[in-house]
Amino acid sequence: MPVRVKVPSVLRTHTGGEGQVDGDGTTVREVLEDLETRYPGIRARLVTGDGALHRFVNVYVNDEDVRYLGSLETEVGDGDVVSILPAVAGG
Amino acid sequence: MVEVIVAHARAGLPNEACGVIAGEDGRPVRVYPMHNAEESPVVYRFDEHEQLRVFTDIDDRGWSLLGFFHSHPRTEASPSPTDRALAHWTDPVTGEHVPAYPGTRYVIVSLAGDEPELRAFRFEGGDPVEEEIRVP
Repeated sequence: MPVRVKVPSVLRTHTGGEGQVDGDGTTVREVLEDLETRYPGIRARLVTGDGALHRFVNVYVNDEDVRYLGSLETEVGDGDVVSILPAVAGG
Repeated sequence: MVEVIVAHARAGLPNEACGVIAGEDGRPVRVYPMHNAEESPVVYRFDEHEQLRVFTDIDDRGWSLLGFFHSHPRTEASPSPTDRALAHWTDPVTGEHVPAYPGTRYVIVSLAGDEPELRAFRFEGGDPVEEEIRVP
């Protein structure tokens, strides 16, 4: 399924400066794997060695945080927007 | 906008308060007071959904993300170790610390003294760099 992926500034070194790129897949995990084929290194910034989403990154499908859905196995459909945002936190 | 930040910080006591500062042409244009999802006096975290809504609103209006603010209810307006750590991403491949939001600043409002104190810092990988806050 073709989707749009919104890329935060911190990851645009991987996408040649692009803030929005095309992705493909049926789940968030597949979309990130698809991005990795064209933007090497981007997946490791988002997914841990154990295959989980990094703690300090938020990934959304449309308006919903995937942590409240199926995390990386969240399904995506044609035309969905996947947004990636670093979490904002401190002390 | 300083008043909005201070009022939100006071309203959040005893917990830390937080929010976003939107900019236009590099100047602050709007403050978005936000919920501290941690509801804690010592840490803060944006609610994920509110964060997306606010960022989308800023995009839709053609503004930019000028920076963030949060309060220190009982300590001075300088970055805590947690502030420094969480303002950066550690690249899992190179181990390099890169700013999570390049080009932004973090305003800290301290309510520890008689009068609120605001200071702004950039986190660019090394020590925080203080920026002057000019109030028109």
